[in-house]
Amino acid sequence: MARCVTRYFGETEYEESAILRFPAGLPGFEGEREFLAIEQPEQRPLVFLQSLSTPELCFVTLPVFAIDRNYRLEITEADRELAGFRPNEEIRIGENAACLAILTIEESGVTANLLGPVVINLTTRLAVQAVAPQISYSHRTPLPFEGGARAGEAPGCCS
Amino acid sequence: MLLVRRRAGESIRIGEEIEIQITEITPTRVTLGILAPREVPVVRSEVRLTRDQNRAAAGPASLESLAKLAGALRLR
Repeated sequence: MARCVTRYFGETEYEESAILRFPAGLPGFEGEREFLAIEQPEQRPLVFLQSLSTPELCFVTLPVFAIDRNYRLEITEADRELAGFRPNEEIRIGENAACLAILTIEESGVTANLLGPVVINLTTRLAVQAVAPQISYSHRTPLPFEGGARAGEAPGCCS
Repeated sequence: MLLVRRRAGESIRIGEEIEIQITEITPTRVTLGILAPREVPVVRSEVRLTRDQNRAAAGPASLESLAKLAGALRLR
């Protein structure tokens, strides 16, 4: 077991195998390569993406289906490759992949980035922020979004 | 905004070092080939939007506001 300091939950222990590796970081955070996905019972259905190199950096996210149950993932070839999906491998959210939208929490309200969700390959534990090749969703989708699955139905997520 | 009409196979230059080639045109999209010095970042505009949004999202939120949000999501 390794330990790290988190932005919201003090010190936490984690298994090496739980680490999510972002080979390209995230846009604006290219140097941040390793994160943990932290789920806390009292914060469900939120999922926290905690940086392992910067304790103050923790993205608050939601599984995309909790926002829009009809969400359709669009991902470029380059991003598929970065996350280690094989050329013909189908990406199935809730099975071989998790898909999280990063939330922006402001006084005026909460928005979710459905344009560029974080896609996690649950087989390789590689992850990428996959900015869609076509603009079908907004990077500032207001929450709550009525099309979301109830929290209890949201796939419980990154393990 | 400067508008330039080009066909597939043609290109334009921006300054001395940047060349943009029109590689392929279909009814719904064009493919551009971009030659630029390594130090010039070339990204799709949506990636820039996501970068700015990530920076805004990285700002601290209080645990109370998060618990409130989580509660509201559970109640839906």
